[in-house]
Amino acid sequence: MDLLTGTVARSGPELDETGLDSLQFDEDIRHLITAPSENANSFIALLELPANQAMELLHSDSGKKECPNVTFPSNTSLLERAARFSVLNGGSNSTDSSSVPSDSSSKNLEKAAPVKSEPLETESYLDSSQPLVSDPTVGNSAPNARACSKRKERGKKVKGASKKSKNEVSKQEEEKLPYVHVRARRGQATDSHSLAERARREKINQRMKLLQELVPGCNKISGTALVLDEIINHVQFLQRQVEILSMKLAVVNPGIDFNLDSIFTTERYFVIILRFNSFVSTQKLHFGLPVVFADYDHTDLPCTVEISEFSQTLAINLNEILKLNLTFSPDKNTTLSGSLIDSNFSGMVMPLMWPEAQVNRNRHQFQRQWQIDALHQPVWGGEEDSHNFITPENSFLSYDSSANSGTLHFVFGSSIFCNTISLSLLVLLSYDWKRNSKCKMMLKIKEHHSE
Amino acid sequence: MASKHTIATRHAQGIRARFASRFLRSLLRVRRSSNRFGGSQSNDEGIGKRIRTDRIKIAAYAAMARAVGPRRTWSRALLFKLRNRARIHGVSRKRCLVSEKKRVTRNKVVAISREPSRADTLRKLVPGGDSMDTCVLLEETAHYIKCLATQVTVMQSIADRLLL
Repeated sequence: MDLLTGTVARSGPELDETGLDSLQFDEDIRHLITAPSENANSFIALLELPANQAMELLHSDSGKKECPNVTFPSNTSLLERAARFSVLNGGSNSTDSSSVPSDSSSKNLEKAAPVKSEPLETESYLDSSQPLVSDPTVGNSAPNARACSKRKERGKKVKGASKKSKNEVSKQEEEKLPYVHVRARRGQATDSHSLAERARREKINQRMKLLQELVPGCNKISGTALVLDEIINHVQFLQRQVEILSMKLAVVNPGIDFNLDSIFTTERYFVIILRFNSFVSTQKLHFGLPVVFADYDHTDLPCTVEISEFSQTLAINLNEILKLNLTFSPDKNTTLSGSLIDSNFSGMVMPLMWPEAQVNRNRHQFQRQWQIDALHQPVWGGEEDSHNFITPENSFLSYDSSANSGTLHFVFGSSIFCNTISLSLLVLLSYDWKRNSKCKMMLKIKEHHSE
Repeated sequence: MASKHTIATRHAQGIRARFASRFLRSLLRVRRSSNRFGGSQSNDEGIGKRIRTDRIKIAAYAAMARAVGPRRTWSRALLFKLRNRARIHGVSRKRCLVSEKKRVTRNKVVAISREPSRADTLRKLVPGGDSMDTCVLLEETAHYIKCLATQVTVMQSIADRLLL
């Protein structure tokens, strides 16, 4: 953008017949920039570094690279103007004026932006004489409107010829167009061969820069050959990694049957400690997991622990409760978790599901029970309302989910709580790994008397 | 079923999730087929570790190629190669091996010997690299590296998850 206006400013005083043209050019630029974004996109794309373009191409997962066909007529006319400009500027820049006709054959635009095919060039060459004559007659009163009408006229003329090019461009990606337009810099050779070569070299250099960013450790290396070596090594390394990992996966015991949803989700573990009588356990062994405390002072039991979660962006899959660990510490001195395998409670029946080796079994258990109710909850958004009941040994769990919040009801039988001081629930929740934002969890403890 | 799946996950979550879903499904399929061979035994007997490795590797590449779709030259070439391999694999193996040997010797005699430049080695590495000029080759390499990196991270996380 700056370069173009720079050239416009430079050419203004130099060439008289392009004075008014330069004004209109400015108008056109401004008009385009304020125009809807679709128009601007394809024009500004010319002005930007093609590296950015290629970056977009690379980093956009969806191949939505469509050139809107509607805007083409206006852009072609502008391109003609730009072409004409640079032709005339090329005449002033380069040493010999005889290079002007040779330049016109390869239109000089801004940096390596591939634009048009032959019909446009011939059109603009023919038109070059026309606007020069008609421009002085154009008053400054309504340059914009005139420009628009001219654009439309030229658009109509060019439309038939450039339909083929339109289709070409809309089908292919921009880099695959037959003609590449490069600006000849000052003091450099301007014959078409070297221009083409320079364009090609610039394209390759831009892509090499992109690759340098992708491959780690390539930023410091200078020189194309070494960078290429590094790239080759990286690709080979990645392919070897894939091979090694596939060997690793082949070795894994095929007896484990895993649920697809559970693989998708990453697990986030909370330790929820329900404290009765405001007892604070002295020694906490939480395995480095975040702890959520909930105080429950009532000794009227059974109670319902309701864990509801809302988050706007997440869909926590409360379906996947992998482990439910209830430990009871009957007296004040014993620690909360200690070693979970040996029991701290005095002869109470208690579901102990801690050891890792049992995870799969528990998963099975839960899953089987989930499947009874045919709850199919896709990981990316849960919308069903359904009730599931899971009954691991002594506690009654019910699960009720709706759009973005789920509630877990733990209902404990009263017999469990006669001696408990504190109770910890280790609830493992898993959620969609794609949306890893924060999740909020709310813990409500309600009394549940109707048992 | 397959079409419904693709429609549902077209632009939904990006390439990583698409690849992960496809890869896991194919992994399950490989597991089931190997289980059928070996029964309840471990994988040392039955189908053999090497074949399973290769199958898993092919499944990974196929899943990645399908997740990318036919937008990229390398993914198209990869899908084409895999489809051909599947076809040839099914028809007959012996005939093709013999004919391949003959072809190889002939090529060695005829080919002009020159040191493979870096671009040539890159062409060999990137699938479908033969029919690309240097500029396009670099672009395809960049996208290929990005996809390979996601492939490796997903496979690594799966392996960690399963082996734990």
